[in-house]
Amino acid sequence: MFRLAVRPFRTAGGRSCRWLVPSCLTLVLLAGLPPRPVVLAAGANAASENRAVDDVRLSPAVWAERLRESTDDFATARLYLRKAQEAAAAGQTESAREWLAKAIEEDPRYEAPHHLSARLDLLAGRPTVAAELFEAGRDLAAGYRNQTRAAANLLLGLDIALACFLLWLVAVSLLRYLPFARHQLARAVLGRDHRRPRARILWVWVLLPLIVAAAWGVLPWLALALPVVWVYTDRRGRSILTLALGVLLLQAAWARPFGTVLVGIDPNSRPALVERAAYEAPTPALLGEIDRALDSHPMDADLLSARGLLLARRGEFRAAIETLVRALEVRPGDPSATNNLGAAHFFLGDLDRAVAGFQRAASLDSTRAVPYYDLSQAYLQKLYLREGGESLQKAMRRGFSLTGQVERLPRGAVYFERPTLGDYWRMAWQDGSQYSVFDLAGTRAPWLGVPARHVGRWLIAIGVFSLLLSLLARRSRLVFECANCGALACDACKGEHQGTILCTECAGTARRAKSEMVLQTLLRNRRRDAETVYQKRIRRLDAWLFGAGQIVDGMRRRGLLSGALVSAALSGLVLGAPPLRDVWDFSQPPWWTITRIVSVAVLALVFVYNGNWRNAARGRHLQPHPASSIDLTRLIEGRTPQRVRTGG
Amino acid sequence: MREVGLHGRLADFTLEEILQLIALQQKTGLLTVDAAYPMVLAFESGMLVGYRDRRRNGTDPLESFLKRYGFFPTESWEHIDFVAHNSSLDLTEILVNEGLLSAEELAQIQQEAAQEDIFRGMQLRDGRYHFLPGRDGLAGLKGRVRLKVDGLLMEAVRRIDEIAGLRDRYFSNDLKIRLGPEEFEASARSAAERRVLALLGEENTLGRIVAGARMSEFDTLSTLEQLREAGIVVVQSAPRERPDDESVTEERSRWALEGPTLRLWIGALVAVALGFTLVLAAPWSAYRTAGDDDPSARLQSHRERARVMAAIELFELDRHRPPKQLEDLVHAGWIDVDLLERIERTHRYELRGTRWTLQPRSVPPSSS
Repeated sequence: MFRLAVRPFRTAGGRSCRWLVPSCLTLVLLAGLPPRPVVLAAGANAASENRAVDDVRLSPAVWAERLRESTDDFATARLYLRKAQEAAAAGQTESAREWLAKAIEEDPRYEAPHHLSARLDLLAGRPTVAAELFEAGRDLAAGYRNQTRAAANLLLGLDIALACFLLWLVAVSLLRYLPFARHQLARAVLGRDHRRPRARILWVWVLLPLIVAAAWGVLPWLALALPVVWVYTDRRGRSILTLALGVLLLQAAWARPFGTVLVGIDPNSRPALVERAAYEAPTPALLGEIDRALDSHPMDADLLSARGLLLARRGEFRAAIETLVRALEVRPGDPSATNNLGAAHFFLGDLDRAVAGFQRAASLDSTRAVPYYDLSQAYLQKLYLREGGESLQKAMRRGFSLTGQVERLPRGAVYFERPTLGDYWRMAWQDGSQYSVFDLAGTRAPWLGVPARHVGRWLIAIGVFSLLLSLLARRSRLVFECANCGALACDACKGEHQGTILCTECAGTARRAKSEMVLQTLLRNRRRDAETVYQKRIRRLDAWLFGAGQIVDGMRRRGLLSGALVSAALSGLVLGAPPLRDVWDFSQPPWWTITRIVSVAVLALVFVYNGNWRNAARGRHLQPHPASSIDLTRLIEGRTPQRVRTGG
Repeated sequence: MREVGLHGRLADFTLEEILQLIALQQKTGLLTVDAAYPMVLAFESGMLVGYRDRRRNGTDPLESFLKRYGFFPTESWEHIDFVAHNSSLDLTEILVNEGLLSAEELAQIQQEAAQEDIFRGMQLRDGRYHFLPGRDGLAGLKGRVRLKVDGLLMEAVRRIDEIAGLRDRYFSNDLKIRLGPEEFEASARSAAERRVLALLGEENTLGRIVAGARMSEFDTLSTLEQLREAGIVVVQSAPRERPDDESVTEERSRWALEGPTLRLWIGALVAVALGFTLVLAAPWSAYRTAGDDDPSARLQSHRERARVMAAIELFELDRHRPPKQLEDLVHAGWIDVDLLERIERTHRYELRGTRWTLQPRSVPPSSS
């Protein structure tokens, strides 16, 4: 479970020497000699360390100084990236590449240098673009910091695209169902006169609330528009709306799994602080952050362990011991804290306690390799060569590799054990309920119309209200479409012919016809005339609103696909880049990112697809009266209707 | 483009001669007459098979015939018009399917209408004709008949001969016709005479009788003449009466500002005013931006603080000293002005030697 990134070790000359470490260790074991300190330092530091260390027994102050020198990799890598960006902006490509190489060497888990490197390769026409992107992708999945950021970006991106899709569906569906609402209102206000031309004045009353709600914000508008669509649409429409809204509702109703993903993006959350304590430069500011968190949770073993680790990395071994002892009092069986306590004793020169600590850590969790390695180093310092050799063998059997460690340590040093990925995600799960994906909207999103913390409640209220409305409003009392021509009709203006509920015009036509032939011809012609006009409108909508016509016409598959693509493309166009960036990421992405270019291409493709490549329309999706028989269609068309469905 | 078939002017070659030629030669084709009374006649092997080409816009001779001579009441015509307007059915199909005429009656009327058509065509003195031979012109022709051209021609010639005398006597549609002094047995009279007598009543004008007699004008006039000679009816001339000018009532505007429409407009205006007021006043703005203490604000604040702290550390790493003030971070390009303003509103940066702190404003300044 203890996954650490691979760091290539280099000789003083700069050549890679991955083979060197196991070979030296093996020689030590075979010869039974006192351990020669292994050259672990990278690059230019190696030579100076070799000169400086003549005695493996160092004072705590020297250990502290050397540890501090080896703990600024994280920030240095970011600084080098900045230098590389400046060099790249100045056109000094070679210099930029050198800085990038240094940044990658300092922090092997840092994916941003690979991205810039890929861009430089792309501009230079080098074939290594894919390799750099692969490296960046691999680094993105390594470590809790990168994982949580990638997962949160993915979740947020999907949610934004889904919200866009839902808004798109509702807005486009309103084109069809607002006339229903207007008809219903006209019937309520004007009674029998509701089909007279003056009833059109009521459009003001139908549209105005939507305009006012839109001025308020997206969510109030959705709260008004979604129930309208929900009430009038049929089963298919409701299913799709339920699916889109349901995913968002789930995040509002059961926030913990989604919050778990998001905890890590809060730098002051417990897992983030623990991770920062393990990897970021051990500055007083960071220590202050952890101390503030401990003020709120004084008995939190994870925070105490993190504080102990941070103090130890700073070289404050005695303070670290105090903190780790407190951590072990809260959680006695913590192998990481026990190992780190032993390491602190080691650096203070108290090898007996160090050995005891490492032994206890190994006994608490015998699968971990680091305690065995640390134990071997302590034994070797004590000149217990046989025990040291055995411990080293145990460490290597458990997969220990110097190249697998994150940090550069002075020779002869022991490693601090960092929390595993499992530890981070356990903490994230514990704190997950405190975070919601809607919190990411922030307070600077007035277009939402409601405070971010209320978004979930609003969504639940919208869902419940829509559901209740659809249960209370009997479909047979609502406005429906004529089974023949598709004109709107209601209880007060409906007609009937042979069990089929029609509009007054079609019913009048059917009533006037005295023969079957004339009846069929008249109804068919009315139907075809209406359908011609309808299909023309649908085609126009499709062409100019990216498949909206297909959504209006019963949420057909192509319309939904177009809507999904448009939503994703619009999201990509607006965001341009992953919305959540690491707080240490100070790069300025260009406006024309790959995401935006792809989004524009997708929009163009959808536009062309719906404008030119669409197939001829087949039939029309009608929502007739639920009690209406569809035999009439068979009668007048001479075939079984394919697209006519009764409303849900 | 070279024209095919037979074409020319009626002044040179009359319709009668053309029809005789077609009948004699047993031609198949379409004869189009472009004159004051346009005609389209279809022939098949010398027989007249169509006199109504409904593939072209223009008056339907059968419909004109039926309307002119009062075959159906107004309500029936409304229905026929409605059906015809809303369907692609031919008039003959509508008449038979809707039970207005039987197939036999329709055949009889078609013959009379064709006869009337030929009769009127033969009275044309000028115009152009074009005969297109072949079956191509007959495709899609509806309401077909099958009449001998010879019979139609002979009847038309007879009518032309007699119509002049009839017009001399029945010179105006305003002529009043009333029952004469002679007693008569209605059952002994022919069907046509009974129909005319039924229309006549005590007294009627010629125009009304012709318009409701359900037979051609020539037949009506002939019937009247027979009745007059028998002393059953008397023709009495009378001055034309001008109908009273009907008062033209203006159709009420559908959008007249009165009654319910006015109330609706007022309601709409109130709604618009209310909407504008709401949008301008934005009573929701306080609620919309509420929640500085909510999780989203906290998250935002934490991230911004961590970002500024990271910038300070990188600045320090780069310049080997921390920034003297946060503006230095902006000058060095680590953060932007917006972030600086936000963080300075909520946090306080303190630098003592090489130690720096970024504390929330709520925390009192350190005394050391």
